[in-house]
Amino acid sequence: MDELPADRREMIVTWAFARLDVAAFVIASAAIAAAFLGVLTLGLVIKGAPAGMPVGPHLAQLAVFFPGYTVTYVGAIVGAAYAGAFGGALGFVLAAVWNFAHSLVLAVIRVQASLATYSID
Amino acid sequence: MERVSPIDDGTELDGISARDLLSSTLRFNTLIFGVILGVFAGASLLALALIASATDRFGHLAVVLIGVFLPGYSADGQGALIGFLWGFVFGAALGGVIYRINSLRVLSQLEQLVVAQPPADGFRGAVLRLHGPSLGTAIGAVGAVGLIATTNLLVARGTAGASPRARLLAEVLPGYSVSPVGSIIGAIGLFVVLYLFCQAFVAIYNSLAGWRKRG
Repeated sequence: MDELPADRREMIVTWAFARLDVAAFVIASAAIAAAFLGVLTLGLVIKGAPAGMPVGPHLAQLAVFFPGYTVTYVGAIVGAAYAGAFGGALGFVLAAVWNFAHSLVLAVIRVQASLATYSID
Repeated sequence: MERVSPIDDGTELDGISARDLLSSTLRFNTLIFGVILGVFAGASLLALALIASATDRFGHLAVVLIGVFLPGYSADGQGALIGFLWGFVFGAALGGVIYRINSLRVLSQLEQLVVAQPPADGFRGAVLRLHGPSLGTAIGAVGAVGLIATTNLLVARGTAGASPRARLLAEVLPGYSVSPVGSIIGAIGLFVVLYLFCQAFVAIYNSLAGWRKRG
């Protein structure tokens, strides 16, 4: 069995309970979501559609949720802004729940450790 | 009454192997990540079905298409609840798989994956760093396998021709078609796209987290 030195064990436990940087996670999520919808929209606009056919009619249905969004160059910017806000919100929830769950477990471990080390005597 | 912090007591963990310790921490984190993704996926399907049931403008076709893969999922209250359950099951499973693939090489990258902070109450706090290639491989692989599985399920059921929404993927995944060969070509493209987006996400996150730590 490959026994671990103490600092290595501590490093594994530290990694397991490491917190996500919420602000960094939110910004990264927002940036990626914005880039995704922006690129997707621009790709459809550049590709175009046969004469008489609308460009990206299915993606354009996002306007139900994102008022003002269209499959146009301007719409790509509007959509990116909406997607960024939506992605950032999702990122915030994910990072916050992750950190909260770990804090909760860590708190339980601390309480159990404290109770285990107190003697009734 | 004497109090000793067992967290600081290195002898308590004597005899624990790297595999044992890593396995138990991975189980815990896999559970958390799976539950989070399960709730996300379930809530998304629930919301989509409820929106589709409340409006004629959006979601009906998407719900019908998803309902091909998730029996019972439909644009009404009961279908939405069934969708939540399906979403939770699939989301949790996918979350578990993604987390496990992402963590395959943790032991060899441990020092790169945490930004240590000053100890508090016996615990050394840390900010998690992400590993782009691992995350990209995990999410890319899950997406690619998912695309192959769903496409070929449509082909096997004989409903491929009646799935115009599936064919729309060819607009953004060159070479994709609702056929076995098309699914593999599309899966390769999807893997590349997801991998690149994950790399970008990790680069932004790690840069900001490191910058904030230094600041």
